[in-house]
Amino acid sequence: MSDDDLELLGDDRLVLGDLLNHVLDKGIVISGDVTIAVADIDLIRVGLGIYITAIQSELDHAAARTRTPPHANVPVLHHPSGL
Amino acid sequence: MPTYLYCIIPAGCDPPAASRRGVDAAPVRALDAAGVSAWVSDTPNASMSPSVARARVHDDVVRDAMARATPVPARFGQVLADDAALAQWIDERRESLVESLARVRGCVEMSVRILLAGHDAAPGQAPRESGSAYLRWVRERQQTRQSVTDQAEFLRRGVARAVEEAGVVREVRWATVAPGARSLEAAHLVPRDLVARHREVVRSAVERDHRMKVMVSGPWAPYTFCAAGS
Repeated sequence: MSDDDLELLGDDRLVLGDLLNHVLDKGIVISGDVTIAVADIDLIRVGLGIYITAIQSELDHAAARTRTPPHANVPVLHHPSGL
Repeated sequence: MPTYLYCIIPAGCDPPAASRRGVDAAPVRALDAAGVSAWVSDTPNASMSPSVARARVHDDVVRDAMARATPVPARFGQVLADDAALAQWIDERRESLVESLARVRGCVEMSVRILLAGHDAAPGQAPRESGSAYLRWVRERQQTRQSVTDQAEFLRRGVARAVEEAGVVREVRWATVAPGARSLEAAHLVPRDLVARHREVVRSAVERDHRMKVMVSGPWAPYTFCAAGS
């Protein structure tokens, strides 16, 4: 398999949702569960009905809201304790 | 300084290129520990907030490692106090990490999703004229959803059977189906040299059923097959 074959392929709508699904929800974790919720959207369940722009939009909005503390809802990344 | 983890790869693989940048443009480096190699970068933060851009960069680094050997990818946001803390963490889990590396060696992950076409084809708005009309509407909606779900489940099993019979998967992992889900998902661990064949087999397995749409993405690093916790 050449490096070119590693290029990500698939339906565009699927790719970003899958990327987030893989990177944010799967893979080894150092300690305990890492739970990420952005703007009340459970990224584990990002569906095909949500387009890339919608996902980006929600994340942008979430990021903007975090600049207006206090807000307990977005984005939340529970890191291992003691770090 | 805190250390951010991208993935673990077998010892002896080429390290990241000197120009390789990770999350927040930090240089990516290899940290050898307990007979494996961790791809890491320094971060001033004890935690890492998620964003699409950062998630992409995380995956880009893992994908870079994947060009050398199949890695055990870390979930986004794994930060340890420093290199020594990460080395200790690896040392304590050396056996399971080496086992995971052996399990995914030579493979990539393909994501297969069956879209439940017609899932929302239930009768429109709930009727308000009477209780019996409402209950009839609820029953019809449930029947429609159940029918579509059953068909998709049948197709999902058919795809799994096809790829196994064709010998293009090493392992299949089903995703849990949530109530009201609009798609059924599965992760396939596929030998690198069979990725193209895998796509063909999946597509031919669903060609006969036009009510469903199958979507395949990948190759990914084997995130789904390396979900071991601490």
